[in-house]
Amino acid sequence: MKFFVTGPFRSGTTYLASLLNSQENMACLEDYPWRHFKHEYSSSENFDCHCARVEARFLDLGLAAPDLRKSIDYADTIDRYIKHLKTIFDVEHVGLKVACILLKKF
Amino acid sequence: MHPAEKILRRINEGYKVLLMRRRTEDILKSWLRRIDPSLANASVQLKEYFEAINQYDLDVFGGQAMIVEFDQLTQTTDDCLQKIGNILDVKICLPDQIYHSFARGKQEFSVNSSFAGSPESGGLRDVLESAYSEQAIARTARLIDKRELLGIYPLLKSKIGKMAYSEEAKLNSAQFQRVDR
Repeated sequence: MKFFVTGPFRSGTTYLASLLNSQENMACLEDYPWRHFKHEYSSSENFDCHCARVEARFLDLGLAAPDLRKSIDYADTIDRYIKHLKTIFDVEHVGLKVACILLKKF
Repeated sequence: MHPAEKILRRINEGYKVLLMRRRTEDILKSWLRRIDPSLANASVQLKEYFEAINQYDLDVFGGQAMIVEFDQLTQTTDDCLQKIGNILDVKICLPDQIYHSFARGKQEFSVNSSFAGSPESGGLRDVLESAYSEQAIARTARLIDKRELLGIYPLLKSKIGKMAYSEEAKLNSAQFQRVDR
């Protein structure tokens, strides 16, 4: 089962996500993988660069990096990413949390 | 921003959605203290967000989304988690230890921006000073809820500016001028 938590800033999204993240068989992470990747890349090197950034983030946290470089397309990349989250946290259910972001500056 | 179309896209990909809702006035107060001291900025963005998610109208999400009320989550947490468990089809209970995001299982969640200012926060983030009175914030929240902020910045600036100047002119007027540019 997959889910995500969303809402305006300061509405309790972090608190809810943390409560869900602390369940035995469930992780809920402040992450939105659709933002990490593009639908198309100009070259495979360019895609590798994106993957390397994501890998570095995991390694920095002391977690195994996802193997995304063999992905066949955007959807496959996201699927692999989610499966990786399930694997490293050893859970069956994964949730993601994203709060609204600031759109306009005056 | 995470508008209704994007939420719908995720639902079509098999995700269930938990949409947090909190009283507008409380969001504004918290926003002004933690994110941005400008009431004009906060209200426009909040108003735009509410519009982008169809004012919390769940009809378009085909039963795959649930509104989670902040007050219920904080006051009757067990009941609220049970309801969330029902929609997610998983048993959810109040955990003994809370972990934030990637720190799951590693570091207990005890300090975030909501607790800044307390001794436990270690001075991670200071609370921003608000230039607005409680009444001004409440009135702005009512305008947002009644959808009376028209999204035209000069009008908004005028409405909020009058409130700020009349009620809190002595407080931090320089801050407001910065926003006013």
